[in-house]
Amino acid sequence: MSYKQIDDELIVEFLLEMAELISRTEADLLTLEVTADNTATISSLFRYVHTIKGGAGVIGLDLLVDYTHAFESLLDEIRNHRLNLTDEIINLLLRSKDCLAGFLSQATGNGNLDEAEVAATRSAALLMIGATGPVAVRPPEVAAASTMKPVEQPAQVAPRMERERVYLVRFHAQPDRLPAEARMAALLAELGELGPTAVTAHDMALPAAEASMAGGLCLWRSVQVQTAASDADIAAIFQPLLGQCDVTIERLDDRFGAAVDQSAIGDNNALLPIAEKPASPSRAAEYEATANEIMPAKALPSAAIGKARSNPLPTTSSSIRVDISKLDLLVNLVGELITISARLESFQDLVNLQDRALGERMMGILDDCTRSLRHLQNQAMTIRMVPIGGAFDPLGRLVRDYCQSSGKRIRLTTYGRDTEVDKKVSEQISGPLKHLIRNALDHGIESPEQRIAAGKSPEGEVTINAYNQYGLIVIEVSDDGNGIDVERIVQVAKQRGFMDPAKEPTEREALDLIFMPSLSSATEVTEISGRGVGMDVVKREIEELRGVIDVATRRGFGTTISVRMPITLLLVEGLLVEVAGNMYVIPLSYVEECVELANTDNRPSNFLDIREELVPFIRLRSIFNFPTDPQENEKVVIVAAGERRIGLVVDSLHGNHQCVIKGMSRLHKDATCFMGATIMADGGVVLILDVPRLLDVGHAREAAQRAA
Amino acid sequence: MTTKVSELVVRILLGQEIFAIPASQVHEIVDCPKTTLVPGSDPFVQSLINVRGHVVPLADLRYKLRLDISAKTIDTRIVVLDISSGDDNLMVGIIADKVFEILEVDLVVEGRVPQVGMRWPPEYVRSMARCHGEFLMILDTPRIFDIAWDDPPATL
Repeated sequence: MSYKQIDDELIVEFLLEMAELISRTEADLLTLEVTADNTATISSLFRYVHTIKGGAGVIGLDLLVDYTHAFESLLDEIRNHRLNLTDEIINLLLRSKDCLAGFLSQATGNGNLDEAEVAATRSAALLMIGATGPVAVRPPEVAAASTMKPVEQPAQVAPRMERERVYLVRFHAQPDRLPAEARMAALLAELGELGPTAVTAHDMALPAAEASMAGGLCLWRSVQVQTAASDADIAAIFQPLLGQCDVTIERLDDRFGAAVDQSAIGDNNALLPIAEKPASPSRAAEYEATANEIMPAKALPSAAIGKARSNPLPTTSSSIRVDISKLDLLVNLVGELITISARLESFQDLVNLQDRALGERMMGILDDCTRSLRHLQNQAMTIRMVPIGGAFDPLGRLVRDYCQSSGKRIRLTTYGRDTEVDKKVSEQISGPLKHLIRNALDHGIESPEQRIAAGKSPEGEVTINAYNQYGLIVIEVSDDGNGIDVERIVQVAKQRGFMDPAKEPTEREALDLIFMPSLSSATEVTEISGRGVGMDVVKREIEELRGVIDVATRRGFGTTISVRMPITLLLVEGLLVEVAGNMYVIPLSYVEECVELANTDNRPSNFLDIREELVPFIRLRSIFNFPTDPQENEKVVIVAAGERRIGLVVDSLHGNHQCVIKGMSRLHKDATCFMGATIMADGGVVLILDVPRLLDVGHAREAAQRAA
Repeated sequence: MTTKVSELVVRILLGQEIFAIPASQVHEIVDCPKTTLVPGSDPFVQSLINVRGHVVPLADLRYKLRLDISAKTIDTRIVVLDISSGDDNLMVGIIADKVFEILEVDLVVEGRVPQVGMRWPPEYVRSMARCHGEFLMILDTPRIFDIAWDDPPATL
């Protein structure tokens, strides 16, 4: 069946929700590993998986229902302490989470489902469930089962189709003839082929009354199966167990799990206990009471499940999902309103000239209007804000998987998860972050042996720290590994002709080498320096987010890579400058300082002495090919990205402006010096400079000039 | 290719020549606003304008069609086109020396236009129509702006 064919809002909604649940599942799974008391986490995991199952059932993704069912059962076992949470299980759960993600990407057409893995994880899960009962503590006195009462909670899954039914199969092992586990698992797997199954192993003692009646039997299991097959088919599967176990098969067709049908297997009728039908409502109530009494642990979560079904994510119940393009539209409309109010303001000047009193009254109204509009704009922006923590979530898994495969021991710590950024920034930073973490794991942190030899703790530490600074978000990725071998990088760069062999680079210049594309892909550097794998790509991606990236390293002590970028791609705080009668905006995040150009040096580019550091400068009018001559009293705006600095010579400065960024049309892809445009209060369009790009241009000119 | 009998077009003047643009692609027609030069851009689209809060590139078809480029007059208008197709969104303004009218014309030649007898690149003309006893060139704007475009179904 092609999921793509089902095109329906319901499905879109389900897929969105599933994506969210899957990411929560992963976060929870990772918590499981490090937390001792994980009852609450297991419960929430159970709820997530259950919600996915419910949703999948509604839209008819049978395969997914079947799959989630297996894991729901496994989690249920853990939740009820019938199965201990081992690393093996966590691994399995993580793998199955990946399978769920596979289902999702298949459904959205973004990838394929690894069906072999699905089958493998599913049967592994069933095997683990099957392995519980007998392995667990065997009760001291056991006797043959004879008069078991159904204490099983009813099926959670409603029959998918009318012809499908839910059966409850219970079998009570005779103590001296326990079936082999492998055999049990095989049988359960066979049963699983008929339809989704849920296995419950009961190894706890029955309540006193029951126990006395049953003579102290404590070992039994039940399997719920949802299938179109008849009870005879099920009976056939369990045929081999006859003589070892007492098997009953009941049909559970109503929510309360009342036995509607009953059937015995073969000729062994005498051996089989007969499930009693509830004779009267009071009797049914008694059944329920018994169920609650026996399984308090189960009763509570199932109440929670009921809630989760009607309201899948209680924690986010007060929020709604909105298409991000609708928010963009809102922000655009607000921008338009602000322009209109600016036009009104200029109109008010006219009114002022005609009638001063009227003009003043109008000004009062306009002030209120402008204030509200600013408010509205800020609000529209905050709607798009999300905590950066979402981008950190996949990293925990990355570290864990890496540790497992490499044998290194690494702890990932994150700080500042609540720091808010625009949703788009949060999405786009995810890729570069993974890259940085992978670098830190692979090349930064040493093996435990090396670490011990170096006098460090065998467990390496990778830290991600996010915080706000000057209206920007800063994300620092640090490791306490071996640092970057700067000398070695320089050596290779010289060998390969990227650097003048006679030159002695500053540490800054040397570190900048790791961002060079051709150098970083050179294997020698990668292996020896342990850095620079695809750092050029990371840098480019960060620059697309209008951010800058910076490296600090200390040999033997580790490396910190910090990324600074605006919290939103929609707004920019900028410095308005004028060049040959045209206005431009320079994003303030890049601006370091503004100075006067002292002498009337008419060369298109040259150097400036800023506190004993030589900073190259370029005239914007020469870059933009304006034919006019430079004016007197030119100003230089010193901009920096990372550690690179350059002075941009402009005619005059016109103060700060908050601008709504409008992207450049693809018809203007040749105009690379601009990252976008904005509309000013007077309705005019002003271009926003792309500072990293201008730095490239400036440095290229500088190099050309040095060569000349 | 579908055979259209008639089409609603906007008749404009470019240089000394009269052309038509399918009305379905015209978003609006505005007076000449203040323009902002984009340094380093293709001379065909060298500036930006503000159309109701949208930053829209302004193209000069006269440049592309190798027509006379004259200074703007009282008749000069900007025809804002919306030639979005699927994910390929493009809003672009074009300078028209004059906008005459919106009218329904009968198509006479469907498909490629004869290559002879035209001074402008023929690939930019989509079809020809008869109007007031003369031939009228309907421009292939998606092609001019390099957009993958399927004509909407014709309305007869």
